[in-house]
Amino acid sequence: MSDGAPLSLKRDGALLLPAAAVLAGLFIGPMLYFLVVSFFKVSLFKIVPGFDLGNYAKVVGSYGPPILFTMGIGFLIASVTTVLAFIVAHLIWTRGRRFSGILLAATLLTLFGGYLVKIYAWRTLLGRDGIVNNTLVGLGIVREPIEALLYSPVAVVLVLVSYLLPFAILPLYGALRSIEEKTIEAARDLGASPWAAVRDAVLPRCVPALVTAFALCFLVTAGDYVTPRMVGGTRTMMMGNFIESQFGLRMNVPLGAAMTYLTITASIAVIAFVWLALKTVLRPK
Amino acid sequence: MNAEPLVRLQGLAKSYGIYRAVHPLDLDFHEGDFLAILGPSGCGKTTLLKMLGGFVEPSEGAILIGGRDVTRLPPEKRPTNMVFQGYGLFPHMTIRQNVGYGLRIAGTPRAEVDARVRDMLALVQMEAFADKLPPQLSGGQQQRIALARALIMRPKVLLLDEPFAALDLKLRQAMQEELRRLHAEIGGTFVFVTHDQAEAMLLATKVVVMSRGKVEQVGTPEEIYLRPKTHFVSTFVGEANFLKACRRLARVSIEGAFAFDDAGPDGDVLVGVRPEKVRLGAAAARCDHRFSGTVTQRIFLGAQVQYTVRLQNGETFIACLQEGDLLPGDSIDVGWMSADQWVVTP
Ligand SMILES: Nc1ncnc2c1ncn2[C@@H]1O[C@H](COP(=O)(O)OP(=O)(O)OP(=O)(O)O)[C@@H](O)[C@H]1O
Ligand SMILES: [Mg+2]
Repeated sequence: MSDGAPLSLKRDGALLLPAAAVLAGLFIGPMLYFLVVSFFKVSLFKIVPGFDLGNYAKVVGSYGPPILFTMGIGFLIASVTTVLAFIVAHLIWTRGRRFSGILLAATLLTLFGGYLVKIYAWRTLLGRDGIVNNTLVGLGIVREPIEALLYSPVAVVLVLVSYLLPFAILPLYGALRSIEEKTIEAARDLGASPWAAVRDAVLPRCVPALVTAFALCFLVTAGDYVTPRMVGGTRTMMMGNFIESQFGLRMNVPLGAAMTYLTITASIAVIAFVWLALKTVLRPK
Repeated sequence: MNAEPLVRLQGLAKSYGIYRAVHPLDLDFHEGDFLAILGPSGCGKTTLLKMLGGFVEPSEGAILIGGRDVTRLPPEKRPTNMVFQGYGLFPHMTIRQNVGYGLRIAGTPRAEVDARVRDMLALVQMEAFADKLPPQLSGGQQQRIALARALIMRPKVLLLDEPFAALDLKLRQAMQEELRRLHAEIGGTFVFVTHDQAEAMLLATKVVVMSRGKVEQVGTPEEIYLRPKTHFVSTFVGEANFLKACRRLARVSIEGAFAFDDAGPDGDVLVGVRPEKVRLGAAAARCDHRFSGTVTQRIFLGAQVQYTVRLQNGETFIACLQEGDLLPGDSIDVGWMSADQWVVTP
């Protein structure tokens, strides 16, 4: 840049090349590869190229319930997490005062524990001899430890909500920070109750962040196969588990790829639905 | 005025911890008043206004509006509306939605909301912008919308926090004129905060001068300017010349010069005179009080000429005259009328 002007992505598109190359090589390339593979066939453990919709027919025919279950539990987990995250972020923003930085750091600190540590922590809490069961039995509320605490969809929800919460708080807190306090005061001044002020002056401006938080939680859940296996019990099978087994044990990559693409498509549909719903509900009248 | 005041503040005060942002103050104002709260930065103007609007809870005292105690009411339950410093428009709502927001919250029928929004936008001359978003508007246009959004609620008291501070001079003058027009047109009681004494003088029917959380003086612009009660007010609302004097037994005297009657406690005082009330030369001959002096400086200010004169007793006086051909070094008589002077404690 001989003219000394600052670098600008708009003016000099070539600056985007490194990032684009990384994205293409590590993300778009493999995705396209699996999209193509999803139309291949497998015979005698060998992949046979071709154009065949059989894999998709098979997924729709045999894996409808697990896809629906995955979408359902993903929707539940993402909704609960996003709502909780909004409440936490809002509390930090409005009540945190000079401690808001510390509070935010504290929520992020939980991420250092890592994913598996959290799962094991919940197992100790919820297990047959876990703290919850011991307390319940000790207090005489139940006679026998409740097996269903662990190894059930409930445990999957608990683990993933607690794991995802900090990720959802971040974008929401960022969105809240950009809202001027006086717009809320203005809403109150014009007659809005505290709740109406949040609904009219705060939430509509958080729609992108709400969708981001929801999508993040939803996609992590929809693609997860570790949590269901560790705390979900044998009957909680999510699409991640089926996909993993097609890529692994069953060595049917084309079927696995088709499952992946249908799961992705369904996920996009759910997220798009949530986005539209939020936009419609929060649209100023 | 003997009518029942619309707003009555009784011992109203605000402390943040041990810091007193607003000292206990009593203040009444009436229906139709255009009140300016004037004071330097950090003197507690915004705090006072926010207590009126319900955004800051008073530490002491009470606020009565129309005879009703509103001290503990939240903003949405008060008959006040506020134009915020920096406007506080809802950036995701169109201008129409911004202006109609308060009426919609109140459950006003759609047709009435639409009609009143249209009238209000016409009043502030912003009809053409109804479907734009606030960030697409200029500062002055946003200012009008903030005004319209508050006025549409027909508040008993309209509160404005430094409404024109962010505007450049020309626009500020235009908006001041517009606010004056609105007050004349629709009536109502306006309270505005400013640190600009010229703006306060221009707009207000009643000025409250504050300094360090205390009310220094309340009065009409004329009273504030011509009869300031404290040294702070004397200098904050305009230029002032001061002469050291002494009061004993209700008689103020300047050594070797003159004396006059003025009730008040004994002690050192200052006699103040505005520069434009000072007469020089022949004009001084007819004045109640006279000194002789020497011109030390002449500054041409366009509409006026400003002279600095050293008096015989060594003090310095500033005089602003319409014209004059005096030069530095000239000996000259300096005088002013009794009616143009005031006395404050240093
Ligand atoms: N929330 C708060 N906590 C602590 N001190 C505060 C708070 N709000 C205001 N103050 C203090 O109270 C004093 C008065 O503040 P205020 O905002 O009323 O001043 P102001 O007269 O409006 O000044 P400006 O012209 O700069 O807006 C200031 O010294 C300020 O630091
Ligand atoms: Mg202020």
